[in-house]
Amino acid sequence: MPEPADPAPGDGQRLVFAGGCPRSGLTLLRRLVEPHSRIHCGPDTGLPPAIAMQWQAFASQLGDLHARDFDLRAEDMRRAMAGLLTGLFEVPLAADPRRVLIEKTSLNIAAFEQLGRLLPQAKFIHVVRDGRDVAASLLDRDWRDANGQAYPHVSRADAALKYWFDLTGIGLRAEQALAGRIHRVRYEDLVKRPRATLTALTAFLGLGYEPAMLHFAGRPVELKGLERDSLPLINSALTQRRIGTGAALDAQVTPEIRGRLDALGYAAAPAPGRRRKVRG
Amino acid sequence: MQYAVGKSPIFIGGAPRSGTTLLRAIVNASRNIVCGPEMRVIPALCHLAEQIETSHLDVLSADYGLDADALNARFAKTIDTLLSPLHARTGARVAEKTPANILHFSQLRRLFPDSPLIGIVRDGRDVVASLLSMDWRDSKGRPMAITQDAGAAAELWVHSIQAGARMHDDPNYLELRYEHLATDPEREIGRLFDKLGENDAAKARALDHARHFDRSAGQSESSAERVAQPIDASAIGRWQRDLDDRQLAQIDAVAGRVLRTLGYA
Repeated sequence: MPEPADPAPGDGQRLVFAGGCPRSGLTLLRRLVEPHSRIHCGPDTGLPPAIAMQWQAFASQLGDLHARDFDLRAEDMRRAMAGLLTGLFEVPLAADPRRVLIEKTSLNIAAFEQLGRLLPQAKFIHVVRDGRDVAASLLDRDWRDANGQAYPHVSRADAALKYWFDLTGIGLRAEQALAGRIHRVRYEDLVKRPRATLTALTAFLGLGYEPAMLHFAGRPVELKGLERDSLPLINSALTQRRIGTGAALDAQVTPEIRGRLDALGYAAAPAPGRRRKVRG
Repeated sequence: MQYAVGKSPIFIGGAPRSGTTLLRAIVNASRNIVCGPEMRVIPALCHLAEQIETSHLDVLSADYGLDADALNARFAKTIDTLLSPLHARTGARVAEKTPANILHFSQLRRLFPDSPLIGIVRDGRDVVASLLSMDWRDSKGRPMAITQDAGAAAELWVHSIQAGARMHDDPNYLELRYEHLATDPEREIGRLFDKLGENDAAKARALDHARHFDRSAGQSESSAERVAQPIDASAIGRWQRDLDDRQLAQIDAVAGRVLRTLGYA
């Protein structure tokens, strides 16, 4: 008889954090992986980066005080905060001991390294997309701060490109720091070669590819929060029409950002798609 | 809930420089309660819990099977875990006295339904005068606004008072006055220890708290030296010599109404 799974895996077993610059395809990723029989991928919770950053603040600012006056060692604090984060996902994980939970808050990327230290068994998915397409999509958003001011990265092309550059830089550093625990997924590969891309992704997660993943269109899904920005495409087929939407921004790419595009394999401005449906 | 810290923990709070360190010395003298210096994690965790409940509970509930009670239980367990080493070392009931706890007493009540919540109130003008004499800096080394600006300090005092006032109907909330502790410690300590279930012997030790106070703990506490001395009333009314007319006007603009409501002005 197999060993019963730990219902609250305190070190992040069976937990996967997906992240990337917003508008890079996290919701498409959810749409594709959620039909898998052993994957739970719900809407963004926003919680992993908040809890990881809080843990880091406690550890760096209060660690000495806690050790001296509260007999609280750094490992005690890590375990407590790890238990808090994993405990929030306990129910879906406990429902099926073979299930992997993917949490896909895009800004997880800002805390990949902290999450990697907080949960040494957790895995990570770094979703990247052509920065010009990301910037074009960001510029279509109406995202505002608490004072009603539109964010610079949804208002100006240079700020949108810089936002993508900064977040992909954090993601690339995390790829170094978390080598072996992190898998990069290119949005363009999801669109052009979905079957091969999902096969590689599920293998990274220790799972097998399931055909249901490609039959997402029409499958009921409730998008929440910023996910709703993806509603227009949510049941659309995977076509190359999704790629190259930001080509017009190519003229505004700085040498620094050009270098990042090159490093991620986006050297040439994408040619207009032939608008054919892509097979899995 | 079964607590790793034994009996339900006690939470102490108040505006900074209101007497929470004095309360620590008093409850520690009981021998049945252990109160460390400011742990400084509970307000941050409560704030996080409040944010999650406000902004993310719909998603957590619908897609992750986590309702408000389960969320609160998770945060309570985390705080309990963080306090447990102190309990394990001493065997005593744990109290936690980070001043900003008071700003989150409503949340703490949801996390710890049985916990005594102890608020301490001091004349806002004395609080501001004391804050302006502190050299407190933020994580980037910059002086904190509440140590530089009488208005900012008064605002924090008002927020703290209002947070305590929201607990007045809670049967397990007790509000103490610093001035009463200083001028009639026997009565005020009696109120506190009755609420905490402590006996007369513990009260007697608390009245002699200075003899029991470990000033080496809590090296970052600004009041440790003073609290190591017997209680006296010399710090009451310090604002009259420490604050100028401009600062008093700033305080009055922000906190005048609350000061008058509490009988301080």
